[in-house]
Amino acid sequence: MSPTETKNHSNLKQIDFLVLAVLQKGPLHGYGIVQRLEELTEGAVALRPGDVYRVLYRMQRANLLAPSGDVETETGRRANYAITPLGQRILSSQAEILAGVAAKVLATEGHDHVG
Amino acid sequence: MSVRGRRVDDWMVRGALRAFPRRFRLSLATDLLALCEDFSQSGRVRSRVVMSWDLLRNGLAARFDDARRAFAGGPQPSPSSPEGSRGPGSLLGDFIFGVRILRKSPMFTLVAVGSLAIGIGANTAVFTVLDATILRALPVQNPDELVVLHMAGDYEEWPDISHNGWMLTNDQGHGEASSFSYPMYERLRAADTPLRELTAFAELYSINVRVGGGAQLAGGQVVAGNYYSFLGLRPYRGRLLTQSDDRASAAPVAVISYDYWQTRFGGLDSAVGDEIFVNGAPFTIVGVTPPGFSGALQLGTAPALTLPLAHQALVMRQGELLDRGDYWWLYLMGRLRDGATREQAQAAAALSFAQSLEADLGVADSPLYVTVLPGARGMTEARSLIVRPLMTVAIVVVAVLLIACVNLANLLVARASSRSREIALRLSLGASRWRVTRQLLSESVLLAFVGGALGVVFAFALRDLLLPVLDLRGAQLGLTLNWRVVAFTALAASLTGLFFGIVPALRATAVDLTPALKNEPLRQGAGRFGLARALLVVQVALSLGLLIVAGLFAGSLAALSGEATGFDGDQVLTISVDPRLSGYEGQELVSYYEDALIRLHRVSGVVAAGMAAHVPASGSMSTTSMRVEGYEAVEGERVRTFINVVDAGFFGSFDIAVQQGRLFDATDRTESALVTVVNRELVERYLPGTNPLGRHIGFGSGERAVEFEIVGVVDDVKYQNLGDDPLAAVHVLYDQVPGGPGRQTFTLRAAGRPEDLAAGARAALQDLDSDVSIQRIAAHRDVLRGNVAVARTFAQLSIGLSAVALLLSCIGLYGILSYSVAHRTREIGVRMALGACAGDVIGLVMREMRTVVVGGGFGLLISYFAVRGLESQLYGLDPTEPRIMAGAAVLLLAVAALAAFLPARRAAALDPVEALRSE
Repeated sequence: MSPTETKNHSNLKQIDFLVLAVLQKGPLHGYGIVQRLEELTEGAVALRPGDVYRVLYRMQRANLLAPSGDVETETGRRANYAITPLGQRILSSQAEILAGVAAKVLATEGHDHVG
Repeated sequence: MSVRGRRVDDWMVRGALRAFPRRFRLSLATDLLALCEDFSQSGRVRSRVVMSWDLLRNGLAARFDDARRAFAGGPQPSPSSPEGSRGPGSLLGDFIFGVRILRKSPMFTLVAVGSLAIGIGANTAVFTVLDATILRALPVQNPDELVVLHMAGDYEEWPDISHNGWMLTNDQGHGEASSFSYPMYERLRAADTPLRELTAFAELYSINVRVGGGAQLAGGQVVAGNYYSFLGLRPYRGRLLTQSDDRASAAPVAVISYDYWQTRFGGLDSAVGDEIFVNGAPFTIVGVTPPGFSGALQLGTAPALTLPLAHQALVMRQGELLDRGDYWWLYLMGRLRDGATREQAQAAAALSFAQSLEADLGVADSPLYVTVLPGARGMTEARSLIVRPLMTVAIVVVAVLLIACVNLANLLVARASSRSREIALRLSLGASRWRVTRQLLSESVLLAFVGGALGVVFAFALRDLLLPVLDLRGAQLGLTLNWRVVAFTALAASLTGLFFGIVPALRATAVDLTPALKNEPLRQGAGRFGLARALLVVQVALSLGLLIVAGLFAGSLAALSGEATGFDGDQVLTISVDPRLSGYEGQELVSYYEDALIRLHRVSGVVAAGMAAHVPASGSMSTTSMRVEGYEAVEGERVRTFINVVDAGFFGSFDIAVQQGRLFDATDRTESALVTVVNRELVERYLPGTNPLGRHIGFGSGERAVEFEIVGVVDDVKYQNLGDDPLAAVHVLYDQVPGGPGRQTFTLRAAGRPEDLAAGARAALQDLDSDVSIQRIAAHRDVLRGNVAVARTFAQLSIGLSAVALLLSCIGLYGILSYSVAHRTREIGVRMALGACAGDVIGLVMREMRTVVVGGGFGLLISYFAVRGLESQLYGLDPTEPRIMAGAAVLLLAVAALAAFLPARRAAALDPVEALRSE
């Protein structure tokens, strides 16, 4: 990853990170993303319809994901979204940073009682 | 979309979809609708309203994202954290975030914005008035060169002249008069002085102007021929007056003001050349002065009509004045030569002044002297009356703004400390110190701007309160909110935000990250509260100062209102007329007044009717020199008295009681013996220890000498300002006064509200002669109010402002203590666990009151010296009156104690177990 990318994406929104994480295993349509996100975060993150496409719109403009054909579902044809190579690189680098931070945070919590 | 899924034909959802940017809709609308369908199918969203709201909100947000991206100019938008730079260096982002943060703590925002609005609003209003009345120069060429001439001297030394103008007491205790005679003007003008030019003008107080068929009253002035060239004024239409118009042989011409041209002539060019009748004499309009110019007369006086001095006798009832050395009526204004000083001009003028006194009045070696004052703002007397009160109010409002700013700083400091954890988190996540500081700063600037905007609204209200007081002289000041002042306060507001935002912001970002993140108590908390305490001391000191000022004004007002006035005018209606303007003179004039009084007596609701040249407490008066039988004047002493021309009913209408002898009655007629009723002051001063009844008072000299017999003595009636010492006064009957009556004011006493008499009285006078216009009709209590209005308004203003200041200080104290209690929760928990009772905890918190006491001490100390400047504005009170100082201090302590008690009680109610766990 180039230094510019690091700078631009070091403040990646949490929701963008999560959506990228969901798409890592393969393209998904809107409702699929919502469902998988809930599975992944054990129900902690629930998106509403308006939120989903606003996030997708923004990420698409940021070149983090792209449409990748249609898929037939129970309720009809739906557009799929896939992670772009840029999205993949940013996802990986952010995951590393956050894993480090998370480990430190968890270690600190072990000593202190959070009120 | 029916191709891809079920139709979502709900209009609400579709409508909400419109909120998204077009570009979004083109590519994603169908997918989004399908998603909505999926949500509905799965039963996740039951209500269309909820879904529509969700779409609407996100659509607008997406539009906003796009707009900001366009604004920031970044071609490649990047995802970012909520507080991160949305687009590189986006200030807008900071402000948007600031709005959100401020909305989260509405109480804080309300208090901060409210206090700034009051501070800024009060300053805008007061400085607008100050600028219009005191600071702004005349709109003429090089106003700084202008000077005004006065003459001054001990009251006892005045020559025997008629002075028509302003007379005020100057710093040396001398009477300082505004006006000169025409011969003196000519002499001064011809003399070789450092004055490049000298012009003269006089106000025509009320003139009857007939244009076409209709007659109306208007303000006017007569000016010397060089007046307009002297001021360097250009005509707006036609031409202005010149030297050749100011000759007795010249055709009578007039110049009108822009405002009068607009209102009376509809701004028509044809007005130039029109013939008008001024007090019956024909004049031709030759030009219009430019808008914004209203002459160089007293504050609040805007003459509609300007006539040449040469024709003054055509419009002035006093007759020909240009050759009279004993009639002093002209304002003189000069222009200094380059490099000349006022002192040089004063010395040079003194010589011609002395020559003139000797030549015109036969007074040699008079100790009277000429003073030369700055004239850039025109005549100064009316202005000088409001300078001190207005300056006092200006200082008070600046103090209030200072308190508001300190309060804001205090709140920001306290808040910054409570947000230290949030700030530490941001810093640890990579935000630069500058980044976080900028965010905090943008919040305070935002507060300042919102406060400033509200302040302008508040300023309008306050200005409307101030204006009636300043418009006492009748004419309109025409004051609009000054946009320079608005710009000034807007700047003040943003500087306030920046300055008081920067200290807390820098302190807040200088945190030690480790303990802050670990939720440990912040070590630097003590230092931060140290700053807050210092600010509180300033605030309390200022507030106490304002409380004392308010107390002094209130006390002064109370003393003024309780003053024995010698009359009861609560139920009196006053109506002023001057039938001379409609051609009445001599016996006809006396008959007019006689008939008018008979008719007014019959108006239903009138209990008593009378009239006087000067009504009590109106501030209007005339004085004359007199001889008192049985009193030997000391060599050079001039025995002067206030003289009022009245009718027999006047005393009854104001319930003025007779002390000795009798009042006027029906037996006192034009042809009977000349009689006068004097006041107690005259008796005590000139006839002490004797029976005044039957003695005579003489006026005039030679053939014009007349003697009046004293038939009664009345109590001292305050004719001038209520606070002034009483003057010797004589009352004479209108049909016995030499030279006949002049402008008179009818005084009607009502059984009920005086205003109810107005319609009947007006009809009665119209019925008598509709040509005589009523100059003023007002309840006497409003006349009186005009007299004490300045005192009352400034008292109310300072009381209101100091109440605000006190409130702000208490909010500051409350805020600090609340944050301090929140911070010391664990400590309080430990103490309680170790056996401290609720009383101990309250005591612990209340100890913060020490700060208030320190601030109060400073406040008392500073006030003790500062309030001496108020001495001249207070009536019957010493500025360091201990009762007021103590009262203000006690009030401040009591209110502050209440503000401190609330957080203290909250601390005492803490559960020790919870408190220990809290950090």
